[in-house]
Amino acid sequence: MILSPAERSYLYDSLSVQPPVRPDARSAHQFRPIEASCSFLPNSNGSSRVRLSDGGEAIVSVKTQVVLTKNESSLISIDVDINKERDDSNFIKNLISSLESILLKKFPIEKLKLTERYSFKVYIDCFILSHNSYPLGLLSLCIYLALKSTRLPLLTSTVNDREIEEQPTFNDDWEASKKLFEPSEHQDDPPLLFVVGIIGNNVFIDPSNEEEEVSENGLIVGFANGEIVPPVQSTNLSNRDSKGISPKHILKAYSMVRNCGKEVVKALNTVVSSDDDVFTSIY
Amino acid sequence: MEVYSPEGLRADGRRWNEVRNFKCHINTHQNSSDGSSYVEMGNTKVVCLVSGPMESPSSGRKPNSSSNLTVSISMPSFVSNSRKKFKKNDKRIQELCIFLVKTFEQIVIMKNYPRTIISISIVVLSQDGGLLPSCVNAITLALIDAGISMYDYVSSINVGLYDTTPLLDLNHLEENDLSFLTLGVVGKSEKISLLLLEDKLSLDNLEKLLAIGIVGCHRIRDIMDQEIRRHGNLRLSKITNK
Amino acid sequence: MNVQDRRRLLGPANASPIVFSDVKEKKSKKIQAKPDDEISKMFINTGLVKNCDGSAYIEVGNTIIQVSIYGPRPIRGSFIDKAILSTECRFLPYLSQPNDSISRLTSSTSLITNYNGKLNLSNIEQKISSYIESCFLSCIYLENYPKSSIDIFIKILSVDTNLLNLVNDVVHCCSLAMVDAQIESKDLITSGNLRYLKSNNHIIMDPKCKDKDKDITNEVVEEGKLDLVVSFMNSRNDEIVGFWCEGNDTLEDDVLEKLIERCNDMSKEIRKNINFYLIESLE
Repeated sequence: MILSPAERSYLYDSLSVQPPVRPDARSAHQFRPIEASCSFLPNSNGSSRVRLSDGGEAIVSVKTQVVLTKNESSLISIDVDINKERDDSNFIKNLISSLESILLKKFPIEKLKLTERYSFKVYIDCFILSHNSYPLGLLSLCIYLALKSTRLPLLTSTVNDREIEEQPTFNDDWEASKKLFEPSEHQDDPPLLFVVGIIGNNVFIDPSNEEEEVSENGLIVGFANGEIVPPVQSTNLSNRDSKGISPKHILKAYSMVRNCGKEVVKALNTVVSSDDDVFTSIY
Repeated sequence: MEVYSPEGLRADGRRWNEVRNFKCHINTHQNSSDGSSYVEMGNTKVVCLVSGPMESPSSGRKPNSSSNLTVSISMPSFVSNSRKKFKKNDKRIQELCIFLVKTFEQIVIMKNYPRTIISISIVVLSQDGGLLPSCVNAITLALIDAGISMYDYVSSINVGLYDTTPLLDLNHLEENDLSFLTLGVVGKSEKISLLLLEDKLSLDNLEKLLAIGIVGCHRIRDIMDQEIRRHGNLRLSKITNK
Repeated sequence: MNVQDRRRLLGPANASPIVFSDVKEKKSKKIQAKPDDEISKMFINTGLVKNCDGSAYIEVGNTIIQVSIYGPRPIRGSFIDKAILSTECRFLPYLSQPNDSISRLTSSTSLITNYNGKLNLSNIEQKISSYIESCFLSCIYLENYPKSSIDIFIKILSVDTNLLNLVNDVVHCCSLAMVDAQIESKDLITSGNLRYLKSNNHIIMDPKCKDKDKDITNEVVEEGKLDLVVSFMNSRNDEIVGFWCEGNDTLEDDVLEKLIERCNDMSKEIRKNINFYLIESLE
């Protein structure tokens, strides 16, 4: 998006006053409204769709496969695909590595272990239909929902196959399937990533496209189980007018994400629990 | 697997002339496109986004040398049962795009859109047979939603032949086993704008298949028409209430 | 198998397999472990590459980095009012890239060539490139170079450390090359790198150790570890231009504040050395 110098300076000024005035009248710690649904893909274990008010939309599918644990280098695989964009672009690779960096570290891998030999391998495939602002925050919300809605078939064979090699067998009844993340236990929820924009002395969460254009710097902040977790990383949201930041900004972003994160998790969990019936039409 | 039982039932419980659950919605992505639609044929789910008519980026240099209508299909790796990565330049997908462009160039009143481009992008969310028909139906709806002038609806369905019985609207398993015909019909007429056969079929069976196919297409057209009218009324009521 | 395999070219019948003599692994010289609160020595040199506008070479322990900068050079096409900055970081092909968990999945994708027949950047290379880019975007006076581009090429010739420590060295190398290319910047960027061990509340400055690869079941080898790189513009009020934190522990505000403080100290220390080198090289 190209802003005229006048628009740019208006936006910059209104975002740098105390408290910031955002173009859509949100407060600094407020997200854009999202529309979310999950479990609509018939041939995936878990799926979700999140749409932002600016038209940005992502669809995530979680598929699992039974693998021999010793043959795999990682039990989680993440792939991001953007409509009308090449797979190997710098942009996509950066998104993938940010997501990997938090998911691989904060994913409760024990949950994937089936037997002594076998495990589930989780494939997280993300598809971005359209995006205007930096889609990392959107993707992270979407992955959270998809993982929370993921169901795994119930193992019927024995867990201990150290002595006798045995292929795991599963209960055919999908009703008996188990959720990967049980709704009752919240201590091991999937991690989230938040994008924070910085202008002047202000930090604000979930920047829209216009806000990104004028922001001086940005931060990606990881959040899991009510706490800030690495990776925390600075990133340039626009290629113009970037400036350095101070530790104060980082701490401010911190407390903001810590407060927002809990609310976001709560909101997402309601989506998961209300969307429990499977394979409904999504639009 | 038994494709068609002697009692006249198919593997998923349908009779020979029954279509799968057909659902469609238009104007699903009003913020990210000029026209959009979502079509579900059984477990095949397709989203279509149309942007345009808009100025073509290179209009100054080469005045409409190539077609003004472009179609791109994205198949994310989760669409089929087995996870398979589709390349952007996959031959099969390119071929489908060409079929779709050829069909819709005849249906859209192109003379109304000189020096502009209409770009259609299709995202397949889930694939269970009948990919081309659902793409055709989704594009028809999305073009209508974008307000692009067309001569009529194009509705599409596939018909397979089991022994001597025609089967309407095949799913993925049936598509693998039977030879089938994909056809697109213009409105309520018997004009065929798309006909695709990729394997063998004896000529004396063709008429039978076409007949049932056309009826199926008309049925689909009616459902789409209903959705368009429902949406139209919704919009109208919003305007009059203001 | 007594049937001769006709599909392959086979060696003569009396061929025997190569036997390697039992080479005892040479006991590597025990490098005196560096005290935890000390910065390791580095060798720096600038202007080695003659056909670029600025270059620098840095050697820290067994890690060798070379950076060359081309630019500002004119670009073709439409007018732009600011220089375009682009960064490309490459490891020499035979190097194993720092085996941080983020790079684990890259092996399959890293060797795909793009249309130009060039190897694509791996996720780790992309990540380093974008970090460097975002640092220098806030530092260079890009508006002084309209209609031009500045390209930074980073070549990692040898690596014997963890990812973030490597990034730390790359930042210094790029800063030096920037000076050598005489590109107008707000300041010289230097950075500090720390490892924080939660268990005993211990800070290691400039950690040189390689990361042990994590077990697939996510049994963390080192519990409660945080790695941090912070890049500063020290003579501009210690502004932070880059911030990157990895690890597997939660981040608390007070700890973070302290870590940034320590990074700043380290950065200043390195700044002194680099200044000394630059002044000396002038004379």
